[in-house]
Amino acid sequence: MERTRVLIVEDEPNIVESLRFILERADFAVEALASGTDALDRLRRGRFSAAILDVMLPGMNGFELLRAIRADPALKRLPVLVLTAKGQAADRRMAETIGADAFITKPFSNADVVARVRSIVGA
Amino acid sequence: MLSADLVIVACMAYVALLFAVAFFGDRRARRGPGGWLSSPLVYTLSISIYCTSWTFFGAVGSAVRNGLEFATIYIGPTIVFVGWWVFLRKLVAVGRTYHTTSVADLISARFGKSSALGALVTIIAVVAATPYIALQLKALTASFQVLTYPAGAVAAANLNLKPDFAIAFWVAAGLCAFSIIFGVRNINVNERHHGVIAAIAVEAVVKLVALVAVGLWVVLGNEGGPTAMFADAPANLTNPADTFGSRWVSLVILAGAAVICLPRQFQVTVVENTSERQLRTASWLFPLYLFLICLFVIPIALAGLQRLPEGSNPDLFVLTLPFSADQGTIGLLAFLGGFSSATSMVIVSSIALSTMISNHLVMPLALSLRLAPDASARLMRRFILTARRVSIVFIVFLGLLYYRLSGSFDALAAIGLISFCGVAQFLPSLVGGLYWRRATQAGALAGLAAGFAIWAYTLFLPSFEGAFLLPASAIADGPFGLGWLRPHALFGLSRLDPLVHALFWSMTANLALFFGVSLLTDPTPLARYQSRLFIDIFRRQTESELSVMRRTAKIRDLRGIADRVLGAGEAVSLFASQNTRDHAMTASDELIATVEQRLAANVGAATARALVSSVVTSETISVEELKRLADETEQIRAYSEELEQKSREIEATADELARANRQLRAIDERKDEFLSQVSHEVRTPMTSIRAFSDILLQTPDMPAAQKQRYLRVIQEESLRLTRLLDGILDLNQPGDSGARATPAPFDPELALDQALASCEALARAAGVGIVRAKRARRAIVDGDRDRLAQVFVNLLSNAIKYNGTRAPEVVIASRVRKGRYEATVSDNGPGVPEAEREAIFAKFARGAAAGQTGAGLGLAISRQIVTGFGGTLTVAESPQGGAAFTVSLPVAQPQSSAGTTD
Amino acid sequence: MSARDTERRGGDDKRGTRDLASVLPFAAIFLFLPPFVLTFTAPLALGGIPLIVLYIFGVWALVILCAAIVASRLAGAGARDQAFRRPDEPAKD
Repeated sequence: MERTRVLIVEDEPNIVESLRFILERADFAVEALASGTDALDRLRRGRFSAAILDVMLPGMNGFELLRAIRADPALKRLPVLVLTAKGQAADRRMAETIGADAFITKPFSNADVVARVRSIVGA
Repeated sequence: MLSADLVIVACMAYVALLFAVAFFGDRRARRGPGGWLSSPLVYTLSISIYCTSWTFFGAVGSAVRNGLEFATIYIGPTIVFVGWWVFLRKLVAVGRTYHTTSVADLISARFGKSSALGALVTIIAVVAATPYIALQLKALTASFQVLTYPAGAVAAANLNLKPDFAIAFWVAAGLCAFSIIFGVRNINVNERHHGVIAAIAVEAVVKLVALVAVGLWVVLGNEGGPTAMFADAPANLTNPADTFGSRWVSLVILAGAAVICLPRQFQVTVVENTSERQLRTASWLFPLYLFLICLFVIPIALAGLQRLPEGSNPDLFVLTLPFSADQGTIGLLAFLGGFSSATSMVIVSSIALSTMISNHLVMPLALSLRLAPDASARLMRRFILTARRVSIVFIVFLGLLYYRLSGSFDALAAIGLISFCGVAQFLPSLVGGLYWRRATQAGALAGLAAGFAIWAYTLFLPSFEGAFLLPASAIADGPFGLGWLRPHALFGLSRLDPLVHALFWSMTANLALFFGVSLLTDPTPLARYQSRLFIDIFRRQTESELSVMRRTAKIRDLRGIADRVLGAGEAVSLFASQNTRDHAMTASDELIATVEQRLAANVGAATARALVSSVVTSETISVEELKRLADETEQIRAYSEELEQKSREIEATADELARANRQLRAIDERKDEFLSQVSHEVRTPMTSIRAFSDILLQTPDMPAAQKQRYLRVIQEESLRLTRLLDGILDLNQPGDSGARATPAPFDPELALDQALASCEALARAAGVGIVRAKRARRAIVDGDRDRLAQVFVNLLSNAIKYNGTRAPEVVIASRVRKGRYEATVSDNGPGVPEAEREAIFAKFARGAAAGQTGAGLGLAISRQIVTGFGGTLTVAESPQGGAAFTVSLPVAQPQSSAGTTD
Repeated sequence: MSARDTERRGGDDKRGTRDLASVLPFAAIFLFLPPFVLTFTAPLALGGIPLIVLYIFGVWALVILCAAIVASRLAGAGARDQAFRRPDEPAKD
């Protein structure tokens, strides 16, 4: 069976590396990008089962990217997990309003991330 | 000449006109107050009874004899009226508020409603007015005689005619009749005389028009202009240095005092006043009237000297000049003007003085001797009216007697000044009473009595030239040959003008005794109470003041007095609110006070008090309470000044606080942003640390190399966390960051290169092109290299990270210009809007533009570092349209001051 | 804010006028009495009229003009006072 593909959009290389390690160990196929603009193109072309978006990104930030995803007919139903380092209630509400499927505050527990990703992809 | 019949007919017609005006004035006033009768114009015109025949005829005479001296009589009142805000306003407010009937009433009321003071002031006023009234009779008689002299007016004026006392008698009788008919119709109109005031206003217009007409005729008929006119002017006009001596000062003071203290001036200025508006207008309009009256005095005087035969009486120039040129109409107008000024003065003076005599001499005597008929209201009121009518006749004929006794003596102005000096004795008590709390009844009595006695001895009695009381020998050598008692050289003071001499001694004695005795005696409780009401007239009266004086009286008894004096009509309205069955009951303090006030408006404060006291069964005035209230007033006055000052300060402080509050709110917002910023900055390394430590813990069988790498990440992120916290601490120690590093000279280019090297990786990852443009050569600055490098790293990483364009580019340029090293980092990103350029350097700020997150801490710290080195960090728009940050540092001086230009 | 400013300026204005009203008589005394008046007693004539006559009447006219200005400004201030008086506060007379 082909592994479930997940795209990570995050500009901190260390965080990307840790997420990649955890998710690959949990049997996901992981790809990572540092910029929101590039991510939208990549999502349209590759067949991803889920996306993990950081909120604070250079250029297009996570929320803007999420809005663009929800506005795209092909990506409308893509499960999205939002990561934020701010952890404020306002950010959580914002994520829910725009249509995030899950929300995780940094720093996170590795198990939690895996559980959330599994739950949103329905695996 | 004019025939006596024609002159008499003209006078009669004129008097008939005055009667008509007075009659309609009274009728208009009865229909209700207000209207033109209480207009400021009529009020001002009535005050101008100050200008009597002394002015109309005497001013020209005075100008001929003493040059400009005549002007003092009008300059004094001008100063008092333009300075109304200082004194007159208070005097008039007191008179209006407490329904004062005369100057005697005001002084007696102020000093505890003292009957003795009222009587003394009345006696002084009557005696002092006598020469003044005589002056008017003399002027009227002389002008009539001159006008009707068979050989012509000019010849008559040159002859020094013997006064015709038959004419004087009939003039006096006519004046009495007019005054009685309009001034003393009934006491119900109490102290205000609308009809008379209306007639006086008309007379004021007539005398001004007449004098200006003569003046214009003289000036327009004059050939050769002013030069010719002043050609043979008396020396005291062209070379006037001697005019401005002690006599000038004395006359200005006397005239200023007289315009307040003369009973008739007090009557028209204070008693007849109905609002402050009237006084406000009179404050300039009355001086203007005086100015216009005086304007032609000098031309008329000069023309008289030039055109009339030598030896003509200068006091009659106004009249004789027109006749010398056969200008009968102007001459008759001049006569009517003089007639107006004399009659109006006598009428108002006699009314004012008769009120004083009846209220302060007749009534107290009648009350204490039980002569007053208290059987019925009608009898009582008739008694008062009769007293006033008889007083008028008495006053006018006293003037006639003085005229008879003093004979043909003297110039008009000299007679008038005797009166001025007499009434000026009121001034200390009047002014002191309105401003000085310590002034007592005994002090006022002593001062007035002494001043009056000295005035009478040094000025009044000598004016008879031996015909009355003081023989001529005593005037010349002193009584019983005592030289130091000579009336004109008291205590050997012989070098002064007699008038100045009299003023000096009488005022010295008056003031010394007024102040001295006041300080030695205590005011009576009632005087203390009254002083409080008068001195604090502009302060709102409080309830507690009524509680100071407690009296008990039966309503029935009070009603009885009110009926008798006020008449049934007014009494009914006063007692309307009282239940008729309660008349045996005790009256309230308020009712007693109201009744007394109404009575005072008719018969004066002292008599009113005597009347009320006759039915009051007990009276207490709490002196303690009064003292407490006085202290309170002082405190309130001090407080209110302080409060006004404070409120201004508070307003300023409030403005400042509002500004500070706005700033605080902005800072608070920035703080929130900053905290979420810090939270993000802290959480990012924490995330890596936690994630990798989890991984390491959960993966014991990890290859050693990978384990090593992950541990290094944890270490790096921990260090990053530490740096971050250091940065925050730096921010909280303002100005410290520069000082912490010891400044040393170094090449800033090295710091720039160091920063560039550490940012290369970041730039490559972000796909940002870095262009190294111009370089500065041989630049040395003072500071710390690592710190400066930190600043450059911050600027570079910002430029790299927050550039969303398709072909991001960062340009670095440096140079030395005008002794400063300048390094600029510019990009082609979104730039910083002009409005935010300063804000982004604030501690908790970060760019509002999209994506400009995370810059907050760095820029604040960077600026702090650069400032610590004595430089500046600024932002502008870059040539590529993005932001251009410039670090500017002073070049270290010693070595490379020359040749550092780029 | 701006309303308070104008009100305060009105207050300053009124205070200024009152100060002027208090100073005016003393200025008149200074101008009319020696020693100052002696400055103008030189036996000079301007256009045929002695200097001292011009001085006395000139100062007199000036003082009256000042008094008229003060009176009209106080009248204006008084009207404002009336307007600002609270309805429950009785007028002075």
